[in-house]
Amino acid sequence: MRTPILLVGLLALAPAARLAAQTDYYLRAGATGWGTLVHDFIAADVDTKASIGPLVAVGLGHSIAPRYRAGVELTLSSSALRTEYGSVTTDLGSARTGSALAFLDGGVSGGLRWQAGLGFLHYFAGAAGGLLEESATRLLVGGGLDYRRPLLAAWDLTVAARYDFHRFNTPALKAHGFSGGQGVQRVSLAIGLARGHR
Amino acid sequence: MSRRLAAAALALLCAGCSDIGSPSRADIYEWRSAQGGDTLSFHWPQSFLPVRIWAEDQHGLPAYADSSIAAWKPAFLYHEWDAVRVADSSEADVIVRYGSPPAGDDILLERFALDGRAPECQATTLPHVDDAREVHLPMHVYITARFAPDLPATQACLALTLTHEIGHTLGIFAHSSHPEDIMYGDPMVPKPSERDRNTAEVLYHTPANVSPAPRP
Repeated sequence: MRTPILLVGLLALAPAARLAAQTDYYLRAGATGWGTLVHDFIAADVDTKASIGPLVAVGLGHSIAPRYRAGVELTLSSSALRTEYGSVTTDLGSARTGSALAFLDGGVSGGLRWQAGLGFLHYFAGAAGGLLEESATRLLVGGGLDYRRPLLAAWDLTVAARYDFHRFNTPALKAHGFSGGQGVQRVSLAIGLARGHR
Repeated sequence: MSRRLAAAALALLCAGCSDIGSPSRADIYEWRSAQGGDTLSFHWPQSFLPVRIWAEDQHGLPAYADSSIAAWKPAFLYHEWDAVRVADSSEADVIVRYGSPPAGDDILLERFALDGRAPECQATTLPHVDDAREVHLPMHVYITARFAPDLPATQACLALTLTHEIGHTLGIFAHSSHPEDIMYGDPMVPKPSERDRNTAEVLYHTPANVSPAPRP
């Protein structure tokens, strides 16, 4: 009786072990810089911007071909929001975001890989009466470069540079008569650890 | 193939660079006050925010002050103006009292609620602007009901009238000519219209020639 159970167990574990061997995981922390979130004109230019803020990212990638991987990356970030017009700067609280990006990556040379992806960026609801009084979710397009080099027996050091953009709009902006979306570009740099397939 | 990829990348980059469509805000009214051949324009600087409003505890005025602040705040998308109600009148930038204004040489931004559909009430905001073009603080608002002040209809009149007067204190020193605006001389609507909100937002992005005097 034990032998069939053992055989079934081994058969069940084999794909999982093979999957694990082809999958890697990473955790990174870094900073994100933003382009203008809202460009408005009220007698003069009015620009709303987000400050450079911290981010954390976790991801997993799985080999789909000898040189390519597909995966998912999740990030959280937070930045202070401010509006500038003339010599005046007003504090609008913070922009807290979470994103999910499905990506494809491939080798460039050595430990360097490119990445491109598509996903969603979610703005969590912020302070009452502000641009982000209600949450908003936008389509996100991004890409970048990852550099990876062995650090420990099972762990690699990983550095990632990312560029992404989305079109920003929120229910509060729509209620004020804004239409379309502001093209917002973001760049980030993060460092962390990766484990798994090399 | 590479040309298609380049074209797609360029299209995405252009989409990433374009601006949001802003509202025109062209539908506004004159908010400045013409006094003796001069035009006075006022708004609160950021350093004074939030503006501190005290309301006498008579006939529900504190609650109406709260609802007036809440009615105006959404007009300011970029937090150009903000206000809070304070419990101590000695800390206030704006004092709201139940009663008639004393005689004086202040600029009277006065209105009388003569709408036949509502009980009559009246209010006066007194921004005292001196020769140095400074508004003396606190600004005073006086509001009275002509009949029993605790009647529901009179209370509604007091509420919308105070919203109108708070509009004066934030810098709308004139009246709208449109009856659907809260800043119409004889207001009938309970809250600021889109035109009121546009006017308030534009005035905070237009240079003022009157500033508040230092807080005492």
